[in-house]
Amino acid sequence: MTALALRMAGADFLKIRKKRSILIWALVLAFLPVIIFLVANGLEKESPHFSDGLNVLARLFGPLAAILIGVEAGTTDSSNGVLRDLIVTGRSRLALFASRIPAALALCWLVNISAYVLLAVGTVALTLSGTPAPGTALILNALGFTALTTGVVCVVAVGFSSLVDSKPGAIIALIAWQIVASPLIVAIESLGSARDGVLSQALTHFSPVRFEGGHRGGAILTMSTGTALLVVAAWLIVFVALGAWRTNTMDA
Amino acid sequence: MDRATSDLAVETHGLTKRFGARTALDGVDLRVPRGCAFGFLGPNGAGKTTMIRTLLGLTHASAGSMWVLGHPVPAERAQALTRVGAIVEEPRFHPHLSGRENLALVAAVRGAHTAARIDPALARVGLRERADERVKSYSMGMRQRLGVARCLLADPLLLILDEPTNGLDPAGIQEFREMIRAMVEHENRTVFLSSHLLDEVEKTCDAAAIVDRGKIVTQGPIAEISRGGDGARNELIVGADDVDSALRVLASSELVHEAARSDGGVRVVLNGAPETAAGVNAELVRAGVGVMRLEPVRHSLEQRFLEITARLDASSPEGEQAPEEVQA
Repeated sequence: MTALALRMAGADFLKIRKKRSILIWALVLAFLPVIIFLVANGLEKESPHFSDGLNVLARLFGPLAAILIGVEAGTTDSSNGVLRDLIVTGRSRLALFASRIPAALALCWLVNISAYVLLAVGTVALTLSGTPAPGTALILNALGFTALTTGVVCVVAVGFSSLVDSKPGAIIALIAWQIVASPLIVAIESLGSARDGVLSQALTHFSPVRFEGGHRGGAILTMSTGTALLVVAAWLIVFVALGAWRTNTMDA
Repeated sequence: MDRATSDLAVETHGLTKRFGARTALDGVDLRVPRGCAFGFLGPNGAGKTTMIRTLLGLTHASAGSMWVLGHPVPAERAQALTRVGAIVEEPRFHPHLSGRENLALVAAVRGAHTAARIDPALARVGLRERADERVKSYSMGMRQRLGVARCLLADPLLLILDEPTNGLDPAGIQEFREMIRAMVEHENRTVFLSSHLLDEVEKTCDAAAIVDRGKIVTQGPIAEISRGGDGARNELIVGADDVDSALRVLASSELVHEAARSDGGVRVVLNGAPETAAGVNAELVRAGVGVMRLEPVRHSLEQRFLEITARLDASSPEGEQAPEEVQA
């Protein structure tokens, strides 16, 4: 990354970090389910199941926080009417679009990984004696999994929101896709292997823990690592390309 | 022609912009000299903002060619805009950030050296004290000033301001006018200012173009446009002790094209240059008419603007009218 690209990404990070409403909602979405999960286990005097906590954060609520942050990064310039002021600096529109991605990822990971740290520390602390606590390897792998699921969704949200250029529209569409459409599609068995194209299913393939079918968050499909990689790459490439194309061609 | 060293800050040839069936700019040939305040004058919907947006690459031209500070646009758009500051329509900012932070965002995009200009720019527009307040608490006047500060980050050779006094109170308008004049006169910047306010352009600008229905109707120095160019009528009001005798003498004079009673005197349209007025005076004196005053009629830009637009209204719906060019 060049110094200029770093400065531009830093500027984009400032824009979204200082948007209090988005930051608060993202923090609530990432932390509250983890806190509830830990408190509920503590009250029941049971050792928390790490896989349940990971499911709550990395598959259910973390991606929602990532959507809010990604959409804010993708639309904040145009929704505030300042995109044209950035374009008239002479800087390329593609560079303006590209700088949104690292900024969104930085904030997304800051929020979600903080919540993950709380989950990991809380799980270990609440594990009763005689019950196996999650090992270091699992904790590190799960950290990577959380970063992967939230990061990919965040980048897709940046691209999609840049494409539709509507903050409320993008938030509603992406959240509806994530929590309504995706589980529904996966549940329709007649769709067969076409269901492998659902992003959340492809991401789940990389989980270090096994989520059982019928688990909260819907059915779980099995697919090869190659297929999962292809699906994730396709989602990223398509939406980043569409977002870049729209930013490059739109009347500002 | 080497446009890099051209005396023109902006030059367009046959610039056309269509939105579907509607033509917003229709073969615009515009020449904006460097180092002056240039008014781009026209009624609402005439194509002023479209012209600015096209020049800045915010929308693509349908046809024609353009140069900004000697660089062809869009081919060398990045180089062209390096030394351009612009406010398009109203100045917009991230409301949740402070004035200083908003400038920092643009400085980050413009380049490393630009951050050093933030404080001087804020001081220049009188916003240093309130630079750390959120923009959502700023008045319209403060936002306009912050918009100018954002332009100054480019150390601009060319400032493009779209209706810059919209929403300003009279004191703010006066202050803005003085700032523009200072930029032109003391800093040798070019200011391209679009407005539908004739008075604003007349008081602020050295030269102007009048645009209507996407076409340049006339362009040149303000005084020349107001007078109507080389072929314009030179008019006098003659005050005389005997208006009837004066009218008789003037009506038969070869120096006079037309004479008519007007406001206690005679309004005279001269056949020649303004200097012909001396001959008119001599003829009246020779005829024994006491001349009390000879006052050249000062044409206002407003009057000229209304004449032009009325003429266009009276012409065909297509506005088939050859554009005028007035020379200094």
